[in-house]
Amino acid sequence: MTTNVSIDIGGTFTDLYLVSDAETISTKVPTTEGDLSTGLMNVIESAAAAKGISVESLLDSTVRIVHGTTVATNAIIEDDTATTALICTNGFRDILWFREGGKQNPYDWDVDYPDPYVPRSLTFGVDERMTAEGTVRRDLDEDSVHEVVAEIERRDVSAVAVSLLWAQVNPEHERRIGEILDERLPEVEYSLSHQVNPVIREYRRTSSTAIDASIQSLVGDYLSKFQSILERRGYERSPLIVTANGGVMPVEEVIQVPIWTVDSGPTMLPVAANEYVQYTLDRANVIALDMGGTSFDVSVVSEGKVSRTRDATVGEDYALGIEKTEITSVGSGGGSIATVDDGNRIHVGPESAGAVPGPACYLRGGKRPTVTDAALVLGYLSEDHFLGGKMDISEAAAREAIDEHVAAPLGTDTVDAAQVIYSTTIQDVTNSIKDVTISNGIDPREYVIAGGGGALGMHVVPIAEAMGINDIILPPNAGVMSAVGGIVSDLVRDFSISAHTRSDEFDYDLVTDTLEELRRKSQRFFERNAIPDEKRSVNYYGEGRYPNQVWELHVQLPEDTITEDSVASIVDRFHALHEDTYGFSTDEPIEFLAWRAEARSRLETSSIRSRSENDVPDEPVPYETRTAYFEGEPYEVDAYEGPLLNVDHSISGPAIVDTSTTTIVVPPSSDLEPTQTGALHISR
Amino acid sequence: METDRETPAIDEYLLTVLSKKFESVTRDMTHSLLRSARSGVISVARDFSSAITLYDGRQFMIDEGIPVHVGNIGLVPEHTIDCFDDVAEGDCFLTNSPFYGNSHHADFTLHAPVFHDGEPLFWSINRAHQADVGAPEPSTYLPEGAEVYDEGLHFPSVRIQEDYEDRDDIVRMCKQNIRLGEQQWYGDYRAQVAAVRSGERTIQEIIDEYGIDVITEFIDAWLSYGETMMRAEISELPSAESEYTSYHDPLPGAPDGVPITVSFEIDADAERIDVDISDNIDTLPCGFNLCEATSVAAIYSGIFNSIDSKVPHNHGSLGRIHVEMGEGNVVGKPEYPTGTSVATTNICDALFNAVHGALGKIGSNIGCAEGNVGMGAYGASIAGTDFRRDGAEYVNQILFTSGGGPGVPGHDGWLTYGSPDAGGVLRRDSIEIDEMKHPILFERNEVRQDTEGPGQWRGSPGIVIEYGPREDPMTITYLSGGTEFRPQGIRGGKPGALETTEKRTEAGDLVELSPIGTETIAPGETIVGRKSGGGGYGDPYDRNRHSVLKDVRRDIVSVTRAREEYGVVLVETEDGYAIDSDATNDRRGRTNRRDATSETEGEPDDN
Repeated sequence: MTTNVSIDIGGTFTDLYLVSDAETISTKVPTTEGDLSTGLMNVIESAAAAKGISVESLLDSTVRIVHGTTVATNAIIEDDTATTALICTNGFRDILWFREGGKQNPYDWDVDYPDPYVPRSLTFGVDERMTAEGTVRRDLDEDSVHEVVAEIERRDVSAVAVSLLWAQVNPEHERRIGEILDERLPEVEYSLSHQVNPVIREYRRTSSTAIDASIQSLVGDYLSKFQSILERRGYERSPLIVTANGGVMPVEEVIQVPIWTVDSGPTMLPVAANEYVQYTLDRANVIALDMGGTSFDVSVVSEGKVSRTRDATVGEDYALGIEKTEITSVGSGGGSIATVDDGNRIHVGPESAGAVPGPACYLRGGKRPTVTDAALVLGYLSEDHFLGGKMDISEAAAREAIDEHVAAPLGTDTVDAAQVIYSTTIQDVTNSIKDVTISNGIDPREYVIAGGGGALGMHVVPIAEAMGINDIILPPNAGVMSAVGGIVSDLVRDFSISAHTRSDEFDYDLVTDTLEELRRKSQRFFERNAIPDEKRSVNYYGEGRYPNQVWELHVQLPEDTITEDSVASIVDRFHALHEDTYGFSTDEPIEFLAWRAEARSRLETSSIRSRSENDVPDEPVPYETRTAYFEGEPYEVDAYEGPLLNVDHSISGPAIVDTSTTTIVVPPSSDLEPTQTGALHISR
Repeated sequence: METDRETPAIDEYLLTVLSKKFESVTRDMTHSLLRSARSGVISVARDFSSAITLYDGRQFMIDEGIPVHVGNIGLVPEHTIDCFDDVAEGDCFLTNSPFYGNSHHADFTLHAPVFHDGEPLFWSINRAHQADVGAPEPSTYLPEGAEVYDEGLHFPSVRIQEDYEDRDDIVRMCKQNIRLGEQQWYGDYRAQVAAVRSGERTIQEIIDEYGIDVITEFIDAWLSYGETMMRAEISELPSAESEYTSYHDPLPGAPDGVPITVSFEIDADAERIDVDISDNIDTLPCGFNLCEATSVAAIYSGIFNSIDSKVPHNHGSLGRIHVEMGEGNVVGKPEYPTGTSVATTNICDALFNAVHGALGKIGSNIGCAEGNVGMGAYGASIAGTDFRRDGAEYVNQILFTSGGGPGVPGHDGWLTYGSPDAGGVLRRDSIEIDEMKHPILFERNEVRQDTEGPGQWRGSPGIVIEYGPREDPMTITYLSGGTEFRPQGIRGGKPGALETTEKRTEAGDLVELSPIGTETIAPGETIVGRKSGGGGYGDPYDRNRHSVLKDVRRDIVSVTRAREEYGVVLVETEDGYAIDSDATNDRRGRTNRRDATSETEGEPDDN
């Protein structure tokens, strides 16, 4: 028997999801604030008990423990990271403060300019300079380094980021500063920009490096502790940690590059969505959605590959700089508040009532109408069966809030007002999906929607309709979805090297050497982690653009060696990609700036298990009938209990399916069918 | 759909949904151009705007582009329909002439009509600042260019595409006359066309989806929505009259400086604002004169900066602002062939500042102090040859920020403000990207100490930038704007520091350069721009003392300035500085400028 375990420690609950040959188990215990060990052992004991075996034999049979941690993200958002100093090239102290300029809303001046990630008072220049080609323009003045080190020593600093201009091309000066720091301040953690994120654009590289330095010790301490707790109970493998590129890395590997743990949690959504879609429909183009109480997240999987971005930030203001899984988030969720402005235009969100005071219908003090209130008035939710009947909600309160704040100003009745709130939400989230699909040259009609979150089921069919998408896969529940993502995700590490050349005067030696170096780094990664040969795979990418363009497109290389044929094929791929993305291409040569390897080891094949047959009736039997509105028209709609549906129970809309965590609305002219995986398949 | 439209709720629903759909059209156009353009000024700095107007030119939808493009983009198609009676589907027109509604000749405004069933309904428009426009000098700003004949190519509503294909003669003419026409201009042009065409296509899809009747109804609803929102905003302003004069540095024909005067009348009951800029000096014999487009943009944007940013910038809201402008003045409509190549920055910035100042004098949380003016060394045009590429020519505008945001009610100046015409929207170049693209080397680019205009809400400090060529000479064209007249404070706030531009010789000496000029800098030499700071808002003695300490800790304000300008006395401690409370109270109270202190309280993050 082999067992895979995924552990997620949230603010309120610690969740464990376990897959072994025969079964899946999901358990939940309260998170023990400030006492990692107790909470962790509680949830493992609870899982062992559910399986009827001892903790020791559970851990003995476990081949993989995956853990997603928010420790770095929370520390950054709560400003609780190590006091960090930044060493930069003399004359460029304000790289982090200037950022890349730009202002979101040009006419809104009721805002403060954000402070830099590292305070200016802890940012120090050293005398040195490299050129764009990596030649030394000015030698490193070691005296100036020693002066800065003395100042850092005097201040209460526990981490140092070093980011010099052009260090990604010639890291010599950064390396030397690293040596001096080793000598002079052995107890201080430091990060060097050419190691953390060797990309052009000083702001992004410096921001990555500063964040990395500031979380090194807290991520290291936390993960070492996590590992040793498991070790004490006899688990001798290395736990795998979820990373921001949608993969996992062993503890020893990830503590070398802690920035990859930042904002890593949501990256499991597309991985899991892809897995479910692959398994149930055998398709590889997926739009993964998560709609909860306050926000709506989108990510895209094309041909099995999750979209990446270099524009991600943590919080509003700090650029991560690394190429992480692209998750676009907008402020639309079940708790989003509806308002009507002076011109009678309706706005829903981004302000959210959250869980407290919550939607008006929760009767927890919220008086303003939310998306959930609208869904209740439209008959999608039920007073008696909300979240399996565990929670009391009031339709009267929902109506009152909608009447006062939306229906009265618009001069309409309650149901029409609720319909406007609902439709506006659909439009907002649809726009956000278009921003990451059509705007990037992706035709969404070839995609499957998959995802979760408490509010997705009520909205997902009209969203699919607006996007022209026919198939929707809704896995059993969103919490489990992330956990599934952890279990099926690959061991992944990215390496990149700057090396400039052009397709019309291609430097075969340079690129061959560069790919060779990337291959070596990948091999060393595989060896360190004892990955068997047959599981190793490396994809190579070139970052290219037309001459004089400023932003690059990433082209996957057809093979890992460079020949005249492969260059021709890379060029063809680039033109096609440019055409898809921006609507035109030219016959110009292509300029390449950098090369990247994505080293990947798939540890396990699918872990999604078939659901066991329930002891349920032969036919789907509705447990109640509700009046629900679609496009303003009332329908008498059958409502079903999700757990009582079996694989051959297909249901035609209009219908509603309630589960203990969510409600799924199946409008007229769409059909719902449970599948072997426990996921529901809706087609329209 | 037909029956649904009868109920008011569905109308509101359509208003919301369709406005979001049209908004996303302009956003898509912008996104595509930003990533695919060639020149840094478009693809990094984002010096462009995407918009939709009605076919008659009424402004419909504009993205969050730079303020100097706002409220004026419809002037361009207005002229085009005057010029042509055979506008057809598949056409695309190019206008850069300010006498045909454009901002200045460096902005190429591409506009394609959007047809439905043979009827033209909208224009899909993209305006972008070109890296070069074939002027006599390798710069898009010609400070001495007193007439259009000094400026380079003018396109007054010229059909550049027909039946969705380039008109090769026009394109050939551009390639022939514009520097790097083939390598740079044509790439930018293609990217602009792709953006305009994507706008056209998406609008047609929306019309197909909803039907022409619904769209026609939506057009009216959207414009009247703009009007309603604007009326509501104006009704909450105080009814008042106000006049303000802002001064620009001396220019040819104005040796003592250029006063720019704006008078304002807000009528909250009638829900309208009247602005008069007709009382100003005549056009100057240089390139700094404004045109109609940039004059109205400064006024509209200056007002939009003071009201709820959710008010849409469409014909309905713009209609509540009435502008009186003269002909032949330095601001307003120029007479042909007056030179206007610099119409988007220097004097335009002074006009913005005057609008903000006139509102600021009225007070009650509107208006703000003066911000930085002009395009100094931080935003210069550079040209030369690149030794790394067999002496290939280059020409481009670099754009770092100038700092210089004005203090506003409740907040310090925005650090990467730049100038009022750009309102912080412009992105900042990357040092490394510029050094890779061009044979340039930057020595420093940092915030400049003690340059902020003191205030309860201080101005943003200015910046210092120093750079030069690597192996071959570089021509640098720059237009400073605060070398004699500082950005002024308001409501008790103080002015920011003055700007200087110098050359550092190979021997290391600093030589003062003319505030506006074209200089050839030799290898081994550098240009050093020290930019002014934004003006302060409110009495600096009311500034939170901990905020003053924070600025001292991060070297923005010196200890002496903290004492002299803010009345905050600091003492040196083991780990830096601390506030001497008694001495500060004494100093702040001793001035007798008020009965009781109104200092802002609370402690900022120590960052």
